[in-house]
Amino acid sequence: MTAPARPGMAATLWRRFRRHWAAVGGLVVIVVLGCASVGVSLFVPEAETLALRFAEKLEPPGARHWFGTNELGQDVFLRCLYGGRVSLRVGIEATVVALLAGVLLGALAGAAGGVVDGLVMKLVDVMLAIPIFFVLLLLASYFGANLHLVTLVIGLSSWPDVCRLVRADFLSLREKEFVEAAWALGATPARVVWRHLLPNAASPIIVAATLGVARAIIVESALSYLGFGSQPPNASWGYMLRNAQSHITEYPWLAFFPGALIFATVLAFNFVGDGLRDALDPRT
Amino acid sequence: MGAFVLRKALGAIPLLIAISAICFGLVRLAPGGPLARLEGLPNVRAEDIELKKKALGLDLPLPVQYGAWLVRIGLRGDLGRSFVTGEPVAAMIIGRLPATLELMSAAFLLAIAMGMSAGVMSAVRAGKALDYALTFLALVGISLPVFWIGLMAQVLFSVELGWLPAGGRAGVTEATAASFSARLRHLVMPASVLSLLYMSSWSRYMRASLLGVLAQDYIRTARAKGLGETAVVARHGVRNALIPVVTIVALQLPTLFTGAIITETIFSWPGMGLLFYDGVLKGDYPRVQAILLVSSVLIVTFNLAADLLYAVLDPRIAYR
Amino acid sequence: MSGGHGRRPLQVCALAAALLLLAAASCGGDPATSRQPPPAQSDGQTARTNRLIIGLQQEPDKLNAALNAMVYTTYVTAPIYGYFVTIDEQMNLVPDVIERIPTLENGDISADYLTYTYHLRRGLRWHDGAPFTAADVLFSTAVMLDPRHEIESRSGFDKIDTVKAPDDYTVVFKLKEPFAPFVMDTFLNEPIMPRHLLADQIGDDFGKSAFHRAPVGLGPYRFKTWATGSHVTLQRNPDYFRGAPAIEEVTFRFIPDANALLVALKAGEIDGFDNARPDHLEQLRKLENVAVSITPLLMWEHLDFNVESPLLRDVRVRRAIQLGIDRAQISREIYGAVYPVAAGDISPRLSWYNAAVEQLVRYDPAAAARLLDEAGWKRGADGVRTSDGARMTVRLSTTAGNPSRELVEQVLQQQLGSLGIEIAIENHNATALFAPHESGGVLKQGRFDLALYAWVYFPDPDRKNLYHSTNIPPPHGQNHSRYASSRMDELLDRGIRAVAFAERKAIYDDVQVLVATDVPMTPIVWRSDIDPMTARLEGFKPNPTQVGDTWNIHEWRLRPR
Repeated sequence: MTAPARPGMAATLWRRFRRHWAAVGGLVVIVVLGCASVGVSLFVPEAETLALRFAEKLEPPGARHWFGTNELGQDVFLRCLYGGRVSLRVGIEATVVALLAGVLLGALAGAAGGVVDGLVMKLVDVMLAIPIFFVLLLLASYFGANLHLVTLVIGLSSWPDVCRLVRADFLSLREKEFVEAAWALGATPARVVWRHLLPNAASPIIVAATLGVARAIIVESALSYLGFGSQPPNASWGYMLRNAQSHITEYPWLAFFPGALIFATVLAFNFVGDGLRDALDPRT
Repeated sequence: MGAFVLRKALGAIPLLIAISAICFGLVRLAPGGPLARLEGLPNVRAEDIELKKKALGLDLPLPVQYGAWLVRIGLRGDLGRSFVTGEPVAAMIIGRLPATLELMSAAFLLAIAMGMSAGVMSAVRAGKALDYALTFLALVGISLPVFWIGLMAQVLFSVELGWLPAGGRAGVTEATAASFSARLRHLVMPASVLSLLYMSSWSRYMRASLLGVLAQDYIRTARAKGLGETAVVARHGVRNALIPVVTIVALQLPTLFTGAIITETIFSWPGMGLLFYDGVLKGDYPRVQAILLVSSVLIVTFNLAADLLYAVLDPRIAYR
Repeated sequence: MSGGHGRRPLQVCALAAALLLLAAASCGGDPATSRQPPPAQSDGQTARTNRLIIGLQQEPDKLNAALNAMVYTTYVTAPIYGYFVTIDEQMNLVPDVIERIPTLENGDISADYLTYTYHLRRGLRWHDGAPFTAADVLFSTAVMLDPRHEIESRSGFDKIDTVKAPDDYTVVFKLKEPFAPFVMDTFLNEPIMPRHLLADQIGDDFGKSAFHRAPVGLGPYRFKTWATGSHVTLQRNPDYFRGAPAIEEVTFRFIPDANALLVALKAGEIDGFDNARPDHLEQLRKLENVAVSITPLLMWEHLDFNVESPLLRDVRVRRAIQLGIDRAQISREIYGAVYPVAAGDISPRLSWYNAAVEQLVRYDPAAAARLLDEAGWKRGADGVRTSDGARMTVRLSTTAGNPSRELVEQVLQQQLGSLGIEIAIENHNATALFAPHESGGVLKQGRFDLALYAWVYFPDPDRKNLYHSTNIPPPHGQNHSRYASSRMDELLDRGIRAVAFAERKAIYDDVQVLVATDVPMTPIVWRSDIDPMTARLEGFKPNPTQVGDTWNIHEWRLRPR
């Protein structure tokens, strides 16, 4: 068995990824949602979507308002696009933070073992024992309910999971023949980690990352339920969903569209994750 | 192996002390506290607030309070009394244990049974319709917030269909002790809603892990030896695939104790999560600190158990 | 991995996703269909003919309001205890375990307003059968005054010089100085405690006594069980001095989630609940067999102005904001007109109300714009006003996670935005907003410009806590606006000592006008208590004050099904 990383990998990856229809579809969904969320401000400025039109409040979806209107008479379609900015950003940024910290420390612990492993795992244990709730409460009291902070904290709260996954894989991989062979051939530790260990530990990392985006979007909504998270008027999808709760039987569209968007996003990220995992897998 | 366990257990003591200090600091530095409510009431005099502060021992310097707390727990095993209800914290925790264990173990068993088998089926039938169907279901579980799923379930099963009670643990409306069937009916919805979250993510991890394992050389060897596919998957595949999944499960097991705040809130389930969250909102320091401490002890214990499980599942990891 | 990705999985999944979400979102059914609670379920609900189950969103910490002065505690404990006085639904004082309300006319209040005599009802018995006498009242007063006890409010008790019982049914209080709210406020919600059960519990551990978890009182209902985190059940007291109540058993179920409360009512698991959210009103009104009562409370949503903020230091700016708020729009659009517009902090239903504030606290954007111009704030290119390089960007904070207040914030953002005042929303978790000064409280530390929240008061017009300069935090006090005015201080100090109605009324007329002129706070709406209760319940008279809706539970009856 050989390590998969070699020159021209990107092209190979793309060729393999393309074979995975669902993944390509997922990528399209993400790109479309991303572009629409970012591009909407070219057509309709945010201030206009925030204007209150009580005469039009709580209209069901129709030709004039594709997704209907909310209790302030704002167009839900446009609010969903602006909400996408918040949700996608929180999801992706938090995952990047978690992956950076988790993979780095997990790889360090799993590859180095011994004292380093012990120290990193102690840090993980401490992190897991600290309820993120308190950290947020503490930070929120001094900085207000700040979305950047919330994103950072969500990211930092999920790195131990990634870290433990990577470490567990490394611990099992480093005893394998091909790794021992690499050592015997005089490879440097960095090369062993980068070329042999990491690529073979990629699948759980990718799953963790794609689940991570979904988790971050959901955690953000749960946090805004408890009074952290996003703030009006910059409502995330999760925030819109939370507010729609009390009207679930009368105005279902208030919940349906943000819910459907979260679902589509999560589905898309997962299919992309599947595709990436298969493309990275050297054995297909 | 006994020496290994002992060494690990002793090593955990300084860790626990560090965790206790961090938890204490976070609880005490967070805004609020037991006097916050009084600050917002009309007709409460500043003198009364100061008197209460003194009665609760909050006028002492923080390090002194921390030291006293640690010594009391370490030497006498006394978790203290609640600032708001006046009850011993240990009794409050014990009072909530039956409800918590009932809900959490039901949810966990459900999640393990369903999540693992869905993951295995998904991996074995990768790329087939069943895989997509299971993936889809798992993602529903992950992509909707718990507060939302809970509300939907209540509206559907309690209001529209009238099949299940919307909340509470059996025994609220009964004059006599709750029957087993009444208990079960109250348990079904919260346990299912809670398990959905675990089930979904575990099935995804199991699928990914098993797919990775099934592509390994030794699986090919096993197949080449003429072993049946079921035997290959069961004996070689699942066992090896479990290693990373066990990590995740072990990591989440201590939540058995801390409970599930949002699920318990929605279904008014009198478990540990509600006890903890209520304590946080009311600034009940002894209660919150005790629950944090007990749960961190559990986390450390479960981590140790997970390490041992690796060793059992993967003989190549030696007791170092 | 084996092949087989070419079976249009994305389409299949997308279709399935759409179907599932549609099914989920529409499972609420036709919104127009009114629903009837399903028939009683088999597990024990058959015995509910003469039992009442009321949902509450919060659980008391102790069943003793002296140690836990919260609305939801009084809701549960009012039926258990006896009190000196209570307040009826018209906000009149009603004697409870006393023969009559002390007044100047009946001679129970002395001419110098320093001696108050209470005549106790005779022949009352505690739930355990022991007789009730003046010794219990003396004991309860001693409990309140003991500094070792975790009593929440000793307001009024600190004015007591001596208390004596000339006989078993008379109690005489002598005050150190005249204190106008003595009869109304001091004993309200403060339960009378049994001496024979608590005499040996006095001291540091009084608050930890098991009594507060299983109390014995004089009221119409006896304590039966308390399953913490779940419910409290009370059983009728056949020996109640006004006659045995009609309803056999009352259970208070604690359901912490607002939507779950509504679901529990729809599912027929509770017979009603306290304090529904205004956005649920529409659904509540569609329920058959449920009567919804709406009672305006002595609780007002308002904006606190931090007068130390550089932007709000000028009273003209504060007045402009006061005039720039269209309260009628907020009341109508956000609160479905159930929360009436407020012009001051004294309810128009009280005789203390001064209608002169309505002219000062009106909606007049033109006058507001003039005031801002006068104050030197000119509109810039983007419509936002500036003055000497400073930009009129005002921070607005409220309790994050409260949907209605977050909507009000957006309306205010719009209304004040059209005046050229930019509102930057900076919300805080409720705990952080109200925390004490030394533990990071935003209000106590003054880290806000405008703060949107609610105050609740007794019917007495005293507002010393809110506007007196000695109540500016730190360390304590509720003058979060940091408003200091010697005239206001002088009025408030006089008001608390003046006992005669006409004299007090004149003082508080001035106080109300001064608040509307100096604008340390501007009111927005009066909160209303929305109580959905089974239509079978008769005699339910929700109370506008903090004595709670169970104040007359002995008069409640359940019509048979």
